[in-house]
Amino acid sequence: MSDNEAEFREFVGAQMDSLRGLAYLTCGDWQVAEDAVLSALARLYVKWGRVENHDSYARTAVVRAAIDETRRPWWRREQSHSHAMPDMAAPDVIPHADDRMHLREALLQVPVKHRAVLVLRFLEGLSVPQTAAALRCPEGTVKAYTSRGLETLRRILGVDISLDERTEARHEAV
Amino acid sequence: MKLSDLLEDAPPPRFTVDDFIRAGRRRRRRRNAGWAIAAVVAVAIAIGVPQILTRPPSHPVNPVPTPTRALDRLFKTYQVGDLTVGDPEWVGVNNQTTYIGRDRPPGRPLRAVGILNVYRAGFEPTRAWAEKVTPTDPIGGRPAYFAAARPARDNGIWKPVRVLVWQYADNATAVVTAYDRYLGLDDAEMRAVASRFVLQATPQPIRQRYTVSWTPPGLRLAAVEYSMRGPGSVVFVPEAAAATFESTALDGETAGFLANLDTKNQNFGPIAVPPGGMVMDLLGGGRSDQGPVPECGPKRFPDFNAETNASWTRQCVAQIVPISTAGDPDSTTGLYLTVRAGDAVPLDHLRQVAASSKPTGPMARPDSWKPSVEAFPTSAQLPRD
Repeated sequence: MSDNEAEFREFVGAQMDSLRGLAYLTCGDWQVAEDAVLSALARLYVKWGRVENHDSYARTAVVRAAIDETRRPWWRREQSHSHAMPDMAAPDVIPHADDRMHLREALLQVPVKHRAVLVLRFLEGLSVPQTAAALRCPEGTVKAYTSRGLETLRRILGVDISLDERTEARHEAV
Repeated sequence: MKLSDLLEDAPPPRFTVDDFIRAGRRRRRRRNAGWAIAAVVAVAIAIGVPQILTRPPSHPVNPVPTPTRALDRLFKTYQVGDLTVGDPEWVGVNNQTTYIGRDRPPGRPLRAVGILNVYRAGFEPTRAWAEKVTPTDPIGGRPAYFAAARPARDNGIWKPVRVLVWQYADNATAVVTAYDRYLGLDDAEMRAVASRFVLQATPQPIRQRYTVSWTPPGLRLAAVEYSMRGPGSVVFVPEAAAATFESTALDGETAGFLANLDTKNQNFGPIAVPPGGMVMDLLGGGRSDQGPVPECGPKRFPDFNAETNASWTRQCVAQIVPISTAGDPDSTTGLYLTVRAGDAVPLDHLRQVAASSKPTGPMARPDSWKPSVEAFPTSAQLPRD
């Protein structure tokens, strides 16, 4: 096994879960998310020796692949959300399951690019410039998408939400 | 609430680090081989196209059936006169089955008079009817014929007597089977059932009340139940058998839900375990002294019939929702999962399956349950078409 491959193996082992989560929150489907991570990391494998910042490359590639998956024509998508099941009010026996479901449904209604910005900023803790670099768009666009995405969530959830930004400085020093 | 909270109920990952390495190697090989492939393709086109253009016409060849992974209901219940065709009760990787019932006076259950079996495109069903067929007028512009059903084992409830076979889409077969009870179905009714059949624009996934994060290597998810019987069963078969697996209209499974249409026929029980396979049943109730740690041993289910009894020898039981007196919809009765198999599956494997199970959303919130493709490990599922 080459050094590159050993490094790649170690990288995937360490980052797979977080990349999977990043893709899932961007596209809203676990199966599609894992497909996106697989294709993004396969590209990284080929370019491993030429890429300087593996974390940043992987994050960008995964988010872009997840966005691409949501743009597939409907007949090529795997259906996984039922519209037939009735919503019935009932006691919630699993702690916070309702909150999570509401937030997940609300997040899925946010336009995909706005959603990607929210996920990069509030899950991955990227700054505005880092998010702009990851999505290859101007910083002003990131700010606008953040504002509009949060506004959409507030409107859908009907509450003044505050997503946790404590991690925002996590990548500042990178 | 943080975004990371949404990742708490993540399903088990379907790819390992080795899968990523393999995908990377494949991509590199493809890239390196790109020019060579382009050259080969160019040569093949230069040589092959003239040959194809000059080849005499031949009979079309059916595409090789490929298994599907999605376990979504392809159609939904509909009425034809006094007949009701149910939602798919069993959804398998190759076919979906449901009942055909005839109305009775208000307040009384339907009478089971037949069954509808819908096969996915490209799948050639086992021929459960006689060689001699009687062509009938096309249905939906596609060919159709009647035939006598092959004699089947008498399950004490009904016997199939006649089938209508038609193509509901290109290279996609469906079968209406009429039974001998309550005058069954006449030819006009069988044609009406077929003529009114339509695919759902958006197939609906079968959701599961629980997830399982480990299944024995070599076993593949073959069918899931969405039945009026109650919480459903899930069938796994050896990989070699999955591509041709059919949930048949003549076994104890479908006998169960057909029998359930008529209160006089409550003599069904656990479904048979396919050869070399495994069945999971989610059932209400259980024991208050039992917890999520599986109890394993020899078969303990009550007897059903000889064929079903002989199909499995061992089982594990885990109480995935405990019985309590808290008064919520789940805990009043509890839920337990039974994992059954024959000698081909080691008891330790059944134990590991049962131990990896956990409940999803509340019983009264089916919308919070997991679609089947997320409830079981992807390694146990067939690839999509």
